[in-house]
Amino acid sequence: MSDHTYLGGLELTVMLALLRLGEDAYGIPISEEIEEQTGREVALGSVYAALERLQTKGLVSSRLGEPTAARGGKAKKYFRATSLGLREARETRSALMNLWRGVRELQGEPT
Amino acid sequence: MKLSRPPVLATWLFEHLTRREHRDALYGDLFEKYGRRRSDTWYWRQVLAAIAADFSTEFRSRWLSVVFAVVVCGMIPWKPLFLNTTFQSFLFSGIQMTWPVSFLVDTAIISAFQGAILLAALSVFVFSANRFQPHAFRIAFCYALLVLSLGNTVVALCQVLPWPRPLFYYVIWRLPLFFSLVLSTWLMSAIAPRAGASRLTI
Repeated sequence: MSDHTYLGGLELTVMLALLRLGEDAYGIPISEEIEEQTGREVALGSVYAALERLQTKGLVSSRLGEPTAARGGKAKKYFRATSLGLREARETRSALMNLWRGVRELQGEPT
Repeated sequence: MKLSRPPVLATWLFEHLTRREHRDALYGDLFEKYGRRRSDTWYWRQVLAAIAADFSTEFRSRWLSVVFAVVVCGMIPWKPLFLNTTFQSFLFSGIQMTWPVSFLVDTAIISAFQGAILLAALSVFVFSANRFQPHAFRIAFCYALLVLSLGNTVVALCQVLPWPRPLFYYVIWRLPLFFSLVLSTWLMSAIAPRAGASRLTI
């Protein structure tokens, strides 16, 4: 058994949105990407909570931008996946694909 | 772009009830998105969700505080300690005074008694976890003592209600110490990093 933990639920969703956005990923684009792709609105607080967990695990890193008046004088915090984060995402996809394969009900095949 | 400010009360709650890790960045995001003609209801919903998410994260990372408080409150032999003659003589001297002085004095005696337990338990916690910082310890203990005193006052007032005796003596009576222990052990690890945290200006 490998020694890593697979990404689950919201963490995986946020990580995938982060990977889709690339360099300019901060709270608002991440939440909007999730909403656009899944049709589900996710609160910004929940996105940041998931990002914090990912950062604690070393799966994402962050850097601060410049503060702007449009943001009440607060800086943007840009996130990007680390190489460990990319590896975890791949491992999670592989594990989920293994589980997905052979589930006839989810493939739309008659039972 | 909308020039009006987001609801002040919601921002105040956000500032005081969320953790500092991403607070500034999250506030910036909320402010920016609110500026795109978002409603006050949206802002309130986002603030409440952020507070709930932070409480959930905080509880998951501080579960040890809760377990420690449960163990301490469960292990202490309340009955022999409470029926100790010295302690009883203190209580009796309070009872002899006129009301409400008698009530206040006896509540203070019980709080001081539990405060000593709190001090001992908190010391064991911080030294075993190797987290001792004098400044944080003082603040944590003072806040916990305040919660303990207020809790004991409420519990003393609740004695007039028809509680089942086991429920009152085994659960309700121990709640002030439980909450003050959870608060103090939680504060011990939360105060130090918060000392340098910036505050939001609204």
